[in-house]
Amino acid sequence: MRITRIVAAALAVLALAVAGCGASEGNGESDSAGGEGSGGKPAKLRVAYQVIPNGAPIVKHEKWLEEALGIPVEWNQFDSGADVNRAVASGSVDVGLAGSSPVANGIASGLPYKVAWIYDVIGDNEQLVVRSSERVSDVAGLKGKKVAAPFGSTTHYSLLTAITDAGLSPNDVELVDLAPEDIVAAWQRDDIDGAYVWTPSLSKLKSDGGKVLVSSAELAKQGKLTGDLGIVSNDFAEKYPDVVQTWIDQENRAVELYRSDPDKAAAAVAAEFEISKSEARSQMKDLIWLDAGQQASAKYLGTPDAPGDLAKQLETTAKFLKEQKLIDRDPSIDEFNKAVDGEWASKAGG
Amino acid sequence: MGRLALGAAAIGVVLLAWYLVARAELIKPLFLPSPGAVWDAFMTANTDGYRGYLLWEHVAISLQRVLIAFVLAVLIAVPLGMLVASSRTLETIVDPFVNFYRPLPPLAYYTLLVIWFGIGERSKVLLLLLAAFPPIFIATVQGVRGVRRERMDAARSLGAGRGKTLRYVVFPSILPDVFTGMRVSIGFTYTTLVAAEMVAAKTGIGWLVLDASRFLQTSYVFMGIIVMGVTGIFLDALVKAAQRRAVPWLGRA
Repeated sequence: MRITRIVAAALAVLALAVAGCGASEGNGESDSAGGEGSGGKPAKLRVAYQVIPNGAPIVKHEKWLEEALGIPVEWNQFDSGADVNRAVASGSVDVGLAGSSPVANGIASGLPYKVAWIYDVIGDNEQLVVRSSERVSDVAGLKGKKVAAPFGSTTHYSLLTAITDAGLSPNDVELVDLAPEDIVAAWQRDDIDGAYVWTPSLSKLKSDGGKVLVSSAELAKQGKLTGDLGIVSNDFAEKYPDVVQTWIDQENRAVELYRSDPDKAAAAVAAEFEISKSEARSQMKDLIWLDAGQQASAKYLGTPDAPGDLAKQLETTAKFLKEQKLIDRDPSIDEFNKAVDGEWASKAGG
Repeated sequence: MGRLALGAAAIGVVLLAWYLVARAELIKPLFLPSPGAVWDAFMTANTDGYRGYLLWEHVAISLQRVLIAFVLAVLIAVPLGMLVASSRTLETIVDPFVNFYRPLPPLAYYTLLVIWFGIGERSKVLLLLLAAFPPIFIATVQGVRGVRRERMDAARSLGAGRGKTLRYVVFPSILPDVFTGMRVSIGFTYTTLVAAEMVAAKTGIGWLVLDASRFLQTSYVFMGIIVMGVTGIFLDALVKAAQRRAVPWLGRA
């Protein structure tokens, strides 16, 4: 009996200790950027990025953040917004890039972060294509077809939106969860009839008999906006607002470079992703770029006093994901207004 | 206090600690959902289903994948192992291949299987089959090596031919080794399940955990992991029961 008690007590202590560790990591306090440096700066900035030809790779390539901050910057590459969400949840990144539907999901699930930047609004770089031999002329014609998308991504959201807008239910189409590179392989093997995916996988499908049914640019015009958002963890934003400002300033500088010297911007993206300059140039053109001034307008992030439409877009996205039973909660607009913060953008570049 | 009671008490203590920590809201539900939320996830998955399929359907399809792969592995590995063990030449030919791919992480070659065999069930079962094969194969080869020379000689001197010796002497002698290999194999195959359900799945308990984690539905992640754990214990018990039936003399020799 004594042994039993000792074992039981030990187990309880162990359980609490394990739970305790999880908690402190979860709050991101344990080693947020490796402790404090001098002058209200962290020892390093941890950035999450993805292989998307927007301003992020330009800032990375030109080393603008390192220069402006004077601290080391840790660049972590992720394959999906879902991975970025998990990284933020565990407190392993301070700022980063995730698509609008993972971010809507994150805010709805109570992830402690804010949207501070719009890297890009998704345009023709994400499209729904179908094999031309299938003789499908519109989205409604996808009934019974096998269509792939990386689940949880912006294209998954756009695909579901396009399907429901066409009067179909997601059950009418056979949806397949595939990563972009697997989509190309499955397409070549004739395993799928269509896919909603982004470049460069998208261009491979288009050059291999793919016909475009709908583009995210069209969906954005109909109010179903998707985008790549810049998020910052709440803890970090509170402790180091100036560092966040510097980050936003540099991102804005990248947008300005793209507008004033697209050739140099394309060269930076090409060097980062090891693609040709012309390829980078054409992929960059498919994105919709917004500078800080545009982002601080009522149409997007807005300002602290006048929240912009992005919060509403995220709320709509979360509501849709909830309807599709992909997430458990769709909070009120207040939570989204609180999580979208245009203050840094409104101060940037000015 | 019996061992069973001690085990149950340990589980109870952990559950209680979990409940108290969740109750005190020390940790956000995103990181540690309450036992109640996990139970709700379990009930919802059983009644409304998860992503269009009921929980038992997810478990059934996963078990189907694992068991098809496992049975195929047994059917291939045991005869092949016996054959290889009986011929030095064959062994020299087969060994390097088995030794090469055995330590490879399954995910490393899974992308190849997907390109070769498509995104359907075939590549998933094949991945599991490749994971299931080596432990059984190696155990069989070692088993044949360990058969006592005198037994075979005794059978031969009584007039048994090659076939009869294999069937009545070698096969029963290696059964304990084969079953040990099978138990290692089913465990390893089961741990490969999540990897197999990473590509183009929309059913399966491994996929459920992956998908729920992608959408930050932690209560479903917990539920899925618990169900996977229980299912794993069941699979191991299944092989153990088969072992007891097939080799009742094990441990009594």
